[in-house]
Amino acid sequence: MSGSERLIALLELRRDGRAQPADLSEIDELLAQSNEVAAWAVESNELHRLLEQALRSPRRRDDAVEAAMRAVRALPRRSAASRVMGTVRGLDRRRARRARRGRRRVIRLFAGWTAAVAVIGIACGIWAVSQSGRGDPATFASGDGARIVRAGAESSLVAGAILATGDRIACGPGTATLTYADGTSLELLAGTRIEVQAGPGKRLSLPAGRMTAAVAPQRVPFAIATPHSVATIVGTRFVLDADVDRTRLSVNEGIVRIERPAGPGLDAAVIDVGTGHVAEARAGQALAAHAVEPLLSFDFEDGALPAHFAAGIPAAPPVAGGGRWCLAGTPEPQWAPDIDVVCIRRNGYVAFQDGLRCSLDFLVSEPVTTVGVMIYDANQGQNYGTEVAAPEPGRWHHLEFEFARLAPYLRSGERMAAGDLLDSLYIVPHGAVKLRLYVDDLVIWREVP
Amino acid sequence: MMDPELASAIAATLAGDTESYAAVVRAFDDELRAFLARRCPNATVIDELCQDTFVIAYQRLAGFSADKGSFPGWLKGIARNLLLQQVEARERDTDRLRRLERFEIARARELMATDDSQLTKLRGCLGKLPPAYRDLLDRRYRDELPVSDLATALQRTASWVTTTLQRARDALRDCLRVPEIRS
Repeated sequence: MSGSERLIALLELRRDGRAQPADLSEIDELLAQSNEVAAWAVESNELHRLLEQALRSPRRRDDAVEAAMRAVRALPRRSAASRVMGTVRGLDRRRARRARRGRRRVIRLFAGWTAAVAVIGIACGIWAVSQSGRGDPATFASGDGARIVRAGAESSLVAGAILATGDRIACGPGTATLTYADGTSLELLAGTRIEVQAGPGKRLSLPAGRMTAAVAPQRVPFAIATPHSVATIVGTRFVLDADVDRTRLSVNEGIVRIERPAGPGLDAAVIDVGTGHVAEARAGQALAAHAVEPLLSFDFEDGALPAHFAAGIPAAPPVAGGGRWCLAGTPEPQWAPDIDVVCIRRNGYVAFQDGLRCSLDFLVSEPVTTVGVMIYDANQGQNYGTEVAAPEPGRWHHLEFEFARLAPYLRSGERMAAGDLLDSLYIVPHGAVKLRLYVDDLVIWREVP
Repeated sequence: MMDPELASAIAATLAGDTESYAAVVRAFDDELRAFLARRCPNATVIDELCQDTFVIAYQRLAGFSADKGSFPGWLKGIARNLLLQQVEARERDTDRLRRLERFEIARARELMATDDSQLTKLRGCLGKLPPAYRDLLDRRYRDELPVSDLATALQRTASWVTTTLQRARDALRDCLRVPEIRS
């Protein structure tokens, strides 16, 4: 293939959004040969864009007119121009704040620890007890890069390994799966650590991390200890997520009892959490179960960019995760809608309500200073966001946030109001020039008391 | 002179009938997009700028005067200002841009002062293309098929598709360069 044919092929790949960083670098090298080559490529791209507009389908035309009219109908509000520049201004402010804010954030985070003491006891029994859980050894079924420490010696875990009392497991960059002979299975998010404990039945400790469990009916309750609690399960499906601020329980099937002991300024509380409900033990917050109303959920398993997304490229996960597909972006320092991962397409609004939440898994290929999430409030002409500091590259991380707790970026002191129209949810890493961002399992839901 | 239907739609919009504005959007969407497409290297940003232009035009509709210029010219003025903000934002990170992006920004600057969209001429040139080229362009742009899918559908190699697409675009480029003769 000649140089010009190669350049044509690479430009076409770029137009399809399928060019990898190496392809883009190769384009740069080919364009460096002469200004004439570069001018030709620019003209070719220009004609391509013109054709995109001139030949677009009637449906696309109708969609564009309708999108503009939706924005017009949302008026009178602030000028839509603030959306474009607002995001840029917001980013500039954030960059300036980031350096001086970093140390304070760490201090606040650990101060929150001391107040966030909660105990969760889980007991449920809605199925007939039919099988014995006594003495079941766990089997390591899968998980890239997982390590085991046994009798002081660390080694890699291989699929099929039988775990024994005292074994300590550290998940690698992908999710790991443990199974038991009775069909119970545990999926551990990347970075999660567990230890196999002695005792009757199944016993584990979960010092830190996130576990999704499907537990077959147990004769002896399955016990999982966290730094703040012991969860005992007879048979149910749930997600248990422990971090520095809180312990959060989502029950997919069955009934779970949560018990929080009395603490400074807090009365003891016990509640039952049923199917489709969540509860969160957090300092200064009443313990209550909330019903979950799913709004949007994306696992990208059909290999296509969902209609709700304005940007992102379906791609295979770089490490084993929950599925065969995720979404990839190649972000740059600017908030750029073509190369970031952007959920809630412009004017595909989600209305803000109390209890609105979002969670997603993400992975960055290179070290970054932060991974930020930012959304646009069309009623206020305001950007709100949050960020995760210095996530370890090369492994999946879980991010969950409540929209009401997002920080305003353009004008401090403002808060989202019920009914505000939200769109353009950007997920963007900062602090690296060349990297890939991967996003998976993005869910937006509302929790109703 | 302004088209009577357009003048009527603008008047109805100004009188409070928001839905009448859809006729205005529909009438100028193609021209505005073509104008932006020549100057903005990013399809998503073209969508956004086009929409923002119509929203701002709606908000400032009472300020438009046919005595001072054409309506599409007024729209392009709004779009140009928005585009300029985008270009300046990109230029702030010039040292991090790829070579192709730097050239495209320079091209956008070069075209910024002009109003030409080439849309009408392009449509004429498309009509002169050989049917095989036109069919391929329709599949690529109207049906939005990526090269790999096109190759599968046509039972050709991806290399054949990219080369043929480029030949079709070369033919269009040559046609666009022929000066117009007006009576």
